[in-house]
Amino acid sequence: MLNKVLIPLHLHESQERLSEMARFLKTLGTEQAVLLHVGAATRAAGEHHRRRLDEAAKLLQGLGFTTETAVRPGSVQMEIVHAAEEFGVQYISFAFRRKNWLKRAIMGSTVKDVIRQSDVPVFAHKASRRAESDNVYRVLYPTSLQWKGDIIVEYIRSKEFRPDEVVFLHVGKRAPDPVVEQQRRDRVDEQLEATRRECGLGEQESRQISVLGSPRRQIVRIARRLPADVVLLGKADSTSGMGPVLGSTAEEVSYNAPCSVLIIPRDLSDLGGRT
Amino acid sequence: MRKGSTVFVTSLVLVLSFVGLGIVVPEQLDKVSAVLHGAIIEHFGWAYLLAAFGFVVFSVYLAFSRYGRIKLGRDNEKPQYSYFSWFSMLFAAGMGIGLIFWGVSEPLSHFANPPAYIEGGSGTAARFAMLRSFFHWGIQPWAIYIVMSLSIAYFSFRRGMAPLISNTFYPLLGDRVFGGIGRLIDVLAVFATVFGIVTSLGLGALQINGGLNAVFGLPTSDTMTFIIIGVVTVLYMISSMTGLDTGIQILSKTNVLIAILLLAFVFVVGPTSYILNVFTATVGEYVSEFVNLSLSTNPFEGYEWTKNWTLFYWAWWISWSPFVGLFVASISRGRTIREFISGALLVPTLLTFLWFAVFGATGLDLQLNQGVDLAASAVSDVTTVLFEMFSYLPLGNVLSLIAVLLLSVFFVTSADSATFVLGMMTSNGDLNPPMSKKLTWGILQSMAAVILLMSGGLEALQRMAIVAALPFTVVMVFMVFSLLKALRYEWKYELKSRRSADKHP
Repeated sequence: MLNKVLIPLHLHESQERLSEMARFLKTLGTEQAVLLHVGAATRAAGEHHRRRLDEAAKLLQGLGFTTETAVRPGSVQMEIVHAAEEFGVQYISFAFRRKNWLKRAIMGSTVKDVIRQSDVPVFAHKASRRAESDNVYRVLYPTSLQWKGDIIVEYIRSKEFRPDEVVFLHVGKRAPDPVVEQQRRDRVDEQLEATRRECGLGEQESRQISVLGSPRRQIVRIARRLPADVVLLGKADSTSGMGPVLGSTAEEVSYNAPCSVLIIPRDLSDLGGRT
Repeated sequence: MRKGSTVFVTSLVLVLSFVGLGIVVPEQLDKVSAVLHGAIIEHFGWAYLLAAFGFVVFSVYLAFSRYGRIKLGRDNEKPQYSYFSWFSMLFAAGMGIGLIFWGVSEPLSHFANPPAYIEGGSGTAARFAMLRSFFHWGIQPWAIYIVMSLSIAYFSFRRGMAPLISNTFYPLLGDRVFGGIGRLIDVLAVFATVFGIVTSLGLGALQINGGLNAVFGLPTSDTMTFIIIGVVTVLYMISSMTGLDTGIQILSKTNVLIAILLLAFVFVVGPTSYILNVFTATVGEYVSEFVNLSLSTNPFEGYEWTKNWTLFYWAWWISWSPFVGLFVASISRGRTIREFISGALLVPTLLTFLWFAVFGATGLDLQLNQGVDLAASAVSDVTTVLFEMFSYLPLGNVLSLIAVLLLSVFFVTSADSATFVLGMMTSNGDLNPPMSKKLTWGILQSMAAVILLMSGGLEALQRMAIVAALPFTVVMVFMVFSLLKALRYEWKYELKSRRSADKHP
């Protein structure tokens, strides 16, 4: 399911950061990696970049990956998306680096741009926090409960994805009156329970949380509070409302969550399954 | 303690304390209220203008949006009152007494004392006076009332909650509306309603006294004013005891009929072509300058005038909105949102415009073309200028008598509606509030009006009502978001799925 990955590198990543991410990708069952750098097209720069990419490739090979490398000139996010298609990877993984707000406001975020444009899953890997917490590999799955044949359930059920605990999260809107609100809460609990059963998980290895508010804020808050290691989030290319202006929930969560985030694109035709 | 009891006791204590202050230390209350009122109008005037304009935009948006089809009640429910009853009660509660009071005196007052950049008594001043009178009594006040009444009607008749202002915040606050925050909102609403109605009753009694003086030569004195308040109190208590379906409805319909007849008579015997010219020109200007008027705080010139009139009115309408909103909500069950907004926004506004065009233009005609200095009277005593104008028309005494009757009945319907609303607000939204609470509020508001007229604390109380309007403006802005949130939820999760189930059973 996540066998082949495209890893875009800006070549300033430290060896430690890269190997930490590679080890994590290994736990997802990834065997092959394509290392890509998008940079200046001059000959001198090209040679320098290739040398750095080769060093990174050696590091990954040492961890058991088979590797390919590529250097491309052009628009960073466009080249990443094209390369993902060209090499037939199952997902794209970034060693996520947070920018300060000013830099982000002026230069934007490559990760967010790729999430918006890519048709394959995007993984934003963030530095591990497991050593300093409860040592439980915990996956947070925020669901709107609006999808039928949920692809994310397939990821959770796959044998590579072996979390110690899966937390099912629904962020809803409060109903306009107390009676309907109680009905909504009961329905959400039932549906989360159904999703849990669909994933083949027992009560020991999973739990469910239902909260009210803005999904983009609540997902980040709950991920921090748990704490979660990975947020598994679906993405739909909805162009309605303020989405195009504010960015999607997936883009925002990938940037602001304190842990790694795997964004999985969804087919809009699957919408309308449950609620 | 139950929510209704807490709100009743707290607001009763608060109101009695303020009335007590008005009796014991009227000068100090006057000073404090003047400072607070001055500071709010000076620093937050722009917020009133922005909020009121926002409410207009919101109302128009809702009327034309997909939510317009949602009913204020169950889907198959029919409107409780006929159009005429509904419009009559809307008008009587929302404007009524004020319109009779200001119909002539406001245009003439603006004409005599426009902002400094316009020459008083000129043609420009007359144009300005009519336009501003239309503006102050036009779409904005009704948009303010609509926000309040639509929210209450939606949450009570559509969502099955008690008709309380606090309950309109359920989508934002959840179960907290049943706790301290909810009680605070309801107490604030009672506070603004009592103070608004007490000042209105006091000023109304003064004008009835002026009218009786003009028609029968009865003296204008405190004793006469107190007798008027006493008689009217008995009348509205009787009306209030008979309930919404008989007392208020019959009185409102009768009064609107009398008002229309008076309007038609003055239109015919007055300067008809002049009135039509003024009406057409002012409506044209109002429409073309609507956005400009709505947002002009005039910071560079004429800010003092804007503060004294426009901002005062906006705060005044907002302070009246809990009362009018609750009342209008309680008579609007069964109407769709679109029907409710278009009806409440357009019909009373049109009637108001006609009223100002007929009475304002007749006054201006006497002033500009007949050499009668009515403007001086409007500046010196706003309560008698209407009767002075009638004295220059055929059957002047009869007209004055009808105006006194109108004032008295509007006085009764306003106080009656306020008693009903106060009873409702302090008995947890009961649409048939207990007699004891109606009696308490009815007597209290009349006594407060008498006492404050005597001690001179009436103006201070009016200022306090306007001070209460500032937190209420914030409350109303949140109310807009809360209502939108609820409508979105209903559309997305209830109506859409119901429609798709109907399509694919």
